[in-house]
Amino acid sequence: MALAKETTTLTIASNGTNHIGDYVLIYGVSFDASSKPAYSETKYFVWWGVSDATAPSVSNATGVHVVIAGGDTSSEVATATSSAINSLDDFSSSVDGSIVTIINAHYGNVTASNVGTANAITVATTTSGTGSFISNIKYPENNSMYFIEGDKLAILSKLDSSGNRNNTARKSLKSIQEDLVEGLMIQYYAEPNSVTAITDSLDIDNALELSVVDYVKKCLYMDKAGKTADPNIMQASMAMATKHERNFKEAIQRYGVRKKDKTGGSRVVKVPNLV
Amino acid sequence: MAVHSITVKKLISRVRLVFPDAPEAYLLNLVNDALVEIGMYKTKVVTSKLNLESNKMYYDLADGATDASGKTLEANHVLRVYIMDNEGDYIKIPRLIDKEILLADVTNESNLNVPN
Repeated sequence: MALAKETTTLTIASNGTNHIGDYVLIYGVSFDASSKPAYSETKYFVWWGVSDATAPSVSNATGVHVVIAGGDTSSEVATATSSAINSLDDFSSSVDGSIVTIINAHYGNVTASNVGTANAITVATTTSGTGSFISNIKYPENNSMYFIEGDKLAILSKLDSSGNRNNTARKSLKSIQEDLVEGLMIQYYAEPNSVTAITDSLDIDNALELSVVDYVKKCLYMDKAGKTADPNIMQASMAMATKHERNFKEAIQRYGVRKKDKTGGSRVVKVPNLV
Repeated sequence: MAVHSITVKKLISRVRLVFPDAPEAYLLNLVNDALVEIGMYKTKVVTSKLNLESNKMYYDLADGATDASGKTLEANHVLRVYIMDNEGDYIKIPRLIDKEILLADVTNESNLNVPN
């Protein structure tokens, strides 16, 4: 089953006076590209108070101050709460009346949100986040394999979700047994981005750009040959279409890789260690 | 000095020297056709990350397939596959040549093609 993002609802049932000094704990998934793993759980406390109020003391948590006034209605408190949470990168929030729905920005299993101190605020987890941030597989190169069948990539493993072997002699390769956030990385040749406006640049190496001109002209000459009733124009157009088609094919198929090859200089010959 | 490269506008201006009446929308379509054709060769190498899912054997690489952040893969030819290890590093895994595996662990598969 596809991984899920944690979704929490806060139901605010009373006006601002009753919520001053309240706080709830919510847990987001933070992304830091320089860390391993890149994703981790982050604890936040959302607290309600007037603008110059002092935050409650909550250990190892980042505070999110929802500024309210005593006379605010439950809907106004909910709107202010949603705005404050939306200012964080780890969540997106929406409000419907007095119900605030908070969705984690990233996949991953986190601690369920809970009430710290709150009057008339109900916290509920509507969808539990799934997916670990780090694998239990110690040596993927020895325990996992892949193959490609058509447009499907098959990933196989010999290990269970704890990293222990779960295969038998007959059933030696099973599917992966763990949910892992961004646990799979693939490197591939991709299609260039399409263009949508004349101000766009071509998403290809500039050594190949003129071949696009050849391709377009080839098509236009073929169109011209197809539309004309004059056999001379038809013949000349077909000759030009063939010429541009040849240019395109030579540029892309025959010399395309060599034209934009970034490999240069001497290469290292790596001798296997036979000892 | 900046590398010389041409925009679609410059490309169209070159074409219009010969075909001054060619419609812009049609030319854009032809440019995209050319890019699709060029994409079949080794032109653009991309690295994407996908979520690993428990009991899921087959991961989609079709035109509409997306990575973990929802971006379209647009994969033509897979070069290498890596799996995260217990230290958060991505380790290259070998390709299985003999695809005739005995076990098809596809109980929870959602993207298998089924008959219409």
